[in-house]
Amino acid sequence: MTTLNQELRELISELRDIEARITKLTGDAVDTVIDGEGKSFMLSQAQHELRERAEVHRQYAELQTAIINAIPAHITLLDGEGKLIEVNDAWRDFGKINDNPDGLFGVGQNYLKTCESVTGEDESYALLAASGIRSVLIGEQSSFTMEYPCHSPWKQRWFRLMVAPLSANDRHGAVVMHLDITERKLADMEMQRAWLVFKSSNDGALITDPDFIVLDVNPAFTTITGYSKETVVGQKIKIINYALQPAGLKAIVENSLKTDSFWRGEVHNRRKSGEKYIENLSLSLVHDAEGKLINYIAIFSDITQSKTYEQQLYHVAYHDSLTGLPNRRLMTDRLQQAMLKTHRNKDFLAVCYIDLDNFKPINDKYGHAIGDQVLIEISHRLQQVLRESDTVSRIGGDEFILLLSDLKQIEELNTLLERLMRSLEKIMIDNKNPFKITASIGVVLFPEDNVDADTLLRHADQAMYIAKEKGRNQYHIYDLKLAKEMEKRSSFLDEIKNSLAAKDFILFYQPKVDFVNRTVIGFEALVRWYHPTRGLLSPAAFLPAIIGSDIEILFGDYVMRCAIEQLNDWKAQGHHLKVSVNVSANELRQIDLIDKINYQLQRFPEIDASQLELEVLETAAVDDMFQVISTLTQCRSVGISVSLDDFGTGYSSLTIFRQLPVNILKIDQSFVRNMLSDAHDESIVESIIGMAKVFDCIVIAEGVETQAHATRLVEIGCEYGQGYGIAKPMPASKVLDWLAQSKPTFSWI
Amino acid sequence: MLNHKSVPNVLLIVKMTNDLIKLRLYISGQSPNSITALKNLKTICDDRFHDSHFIEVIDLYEHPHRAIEDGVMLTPMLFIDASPPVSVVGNLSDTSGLINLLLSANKK
Repeated sequence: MTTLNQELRELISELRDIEARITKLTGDAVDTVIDGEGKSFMLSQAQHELRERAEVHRQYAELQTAIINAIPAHITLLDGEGKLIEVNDAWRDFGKINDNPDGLFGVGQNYLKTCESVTGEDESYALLAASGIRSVLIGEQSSFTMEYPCHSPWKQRWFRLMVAPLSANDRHGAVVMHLDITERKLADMEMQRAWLVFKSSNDGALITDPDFIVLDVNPAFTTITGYSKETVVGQKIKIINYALQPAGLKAIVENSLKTDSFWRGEVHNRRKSGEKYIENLSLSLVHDAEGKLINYIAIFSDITQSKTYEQQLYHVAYHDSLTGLPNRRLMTDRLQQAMLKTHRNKDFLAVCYIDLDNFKPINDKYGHAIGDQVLIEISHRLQQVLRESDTVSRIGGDEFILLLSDLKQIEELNTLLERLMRSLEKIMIDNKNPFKITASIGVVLFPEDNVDADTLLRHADQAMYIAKEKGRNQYHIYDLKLAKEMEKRSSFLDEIKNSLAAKDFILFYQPKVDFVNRTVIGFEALVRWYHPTRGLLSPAAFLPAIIGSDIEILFGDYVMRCAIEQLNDWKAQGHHLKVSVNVSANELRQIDLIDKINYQLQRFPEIDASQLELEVLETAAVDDMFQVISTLTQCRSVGISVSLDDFGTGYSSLTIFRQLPVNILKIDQSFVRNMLSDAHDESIVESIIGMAKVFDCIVIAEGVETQAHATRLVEIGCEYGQGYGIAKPMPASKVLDWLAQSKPTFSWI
Repeated sequence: MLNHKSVPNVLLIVKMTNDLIKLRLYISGQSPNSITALKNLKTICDDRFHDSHFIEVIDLYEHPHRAIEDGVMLTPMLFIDASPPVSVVGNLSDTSGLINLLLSANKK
């Protein structure tokens, strides 16, 4: 063994020597030596260099593999036939997910055939991929790209297929890559959907860069504005043309964009044709992730038409269809504004209620067509006369209301009104005869009459009625003081009406006696008011308000009915008494007074007309002598007595007295009260008694306060009396008791 | 996976003229001096004898019988077909010497 090793060592050493000599001989520039049989022997230096180069190649190839494996795309190399030669990690991973039974990930299989065998919904994509890859393999195309869906049951996926030719050494093939583009695809689809909405929207849409250079517009933009996409894209645009907007909008919009990145509102704009239109505009700012402004987006709709309808509706709702003047609603609006303005400006406002005096005959005589023309002409004239700040409105057939504002002095108003009334004269229609139109105008001034708009209009209406009553063709300015009193009276009358309904008015009865025979000849019914809050009120507190009012008759009827019902009550209790009722002048003027009394009497057959007496004032008879005489005569004819009350205080005219069908005379208490001390009064009393006797009248003295009065009256021929000395007026419930107590004594004489 | 692109086994540059310098370079595969010799020869020929040379490169690993036929004992070795024929052994790094040899061969 040792000798073999020894020999081997010597041979190698010899080989080294030979190699060193050859190397030296050839200057280190030779790689191999070749023997006579053509067999090469590589020198060690060349071998070493070859090994080093192979190592570099190996590292380089590894790096390339690592790079390719790091690429997320699924990459495979195909040979010229379409067979898979190699795949990268992404391909393998995908193969693992997609169940790869042989663990080869398809290596060795023909990829074209795999594609061509796909069936189902992916078939068309697979066939397209196969034909694309084939065309690259045979050099028909230098590359091929397609995108295709590859959905799994739990995930939507899309891939991009890229095929590039591969040429290495003599081998030709292709690189096939599948890149997952799901994320991009979803984003694309969302973009497409957004774009579709953008395109198909009826709203105009516009997107610009931060310098208002148009990036894109949609078809509706062109429809609305008339500008085509080609003419605006790339151009600088004014999204809002502030020259067409009300002043101050720019600041509002800019402020809103600054704080909210958004503004919405109505703006005016101009179409390509020059026509103006109104758009409802939403303007948004778009910022990138760093907050830098990147886009303006404007979405707008053309609201011109709906705006026009709105205005038409507004006009119809707020204007009179015949004259086009504001109607009551608009006028009320303006009135309220004018009232506020008046408060601020410290001037005054006049509301004029105009009613044409003689318009109806025009309609009746010439027909409504002419009538309407006259109204239109009047509305023109009113407008001509008035100032810009005034409002003319028509609120009814021939009624107009004028609002005259900014008035400083009453003279201004007078001048305007005079001019207004003159303007209505001589209205001509069709050049025929002029119509004579006059107007009654009621005027109310604000804030002198500091009430709300409705009340102001009512006051103007009331003033107009006064102008009419005063004889028409004039104006009347509402008298605030008078109106206030009237209002007070009106509410007082309302109170009386309520009390009448509630039967708070009751009758007291004051006895009238026969001094000589010591009998009670009857009672005078005197009304009292049990006021809900003020207690018992005597007639002086309420009769003046009732006299002359529309409830006077109602009130008289009430008193009459109560008196007759009371007579019936007493009758039922076995007392046949007489009652006198005071009747006012206006009651006496009623033609049907006797009918109403008869009706009440007929309700109670037990009551005789002779139990009833009417007390009338001398003054009442004078106003309408004829009617009063007629009524009283009728009363007398059915048996009702009539007395002339308070005689001596009125005219005390013998002529009147003679004509009136009265059978009783009542001497006024003022004469009776003082007759004992005043000889003059006593002589008056005496002469009245004398006169009564001449005319065959019973005479009754009122105001009998003492027994001395009674004694003296009997002495001078008056046997009947009434007064506090005998009894004060008492409620009906006390009358029978009083009768029972007073009868035995007859204390009054 | 991707193969490194290798030097072609035979490179023929053919120029059909009568005044060609006929050259034969014997190499052995990818050995370092063989590659250097081929590179140097090509550079010189392309620079100085652009239209008048013909190089036959013979890899003796692939065609070992040519070594016997042409009597080659070392690679790389350049054979210049002139009269008298000239053989140059080595990686041809002495470019000026080689140019002189080729010039004299061309003149003949």
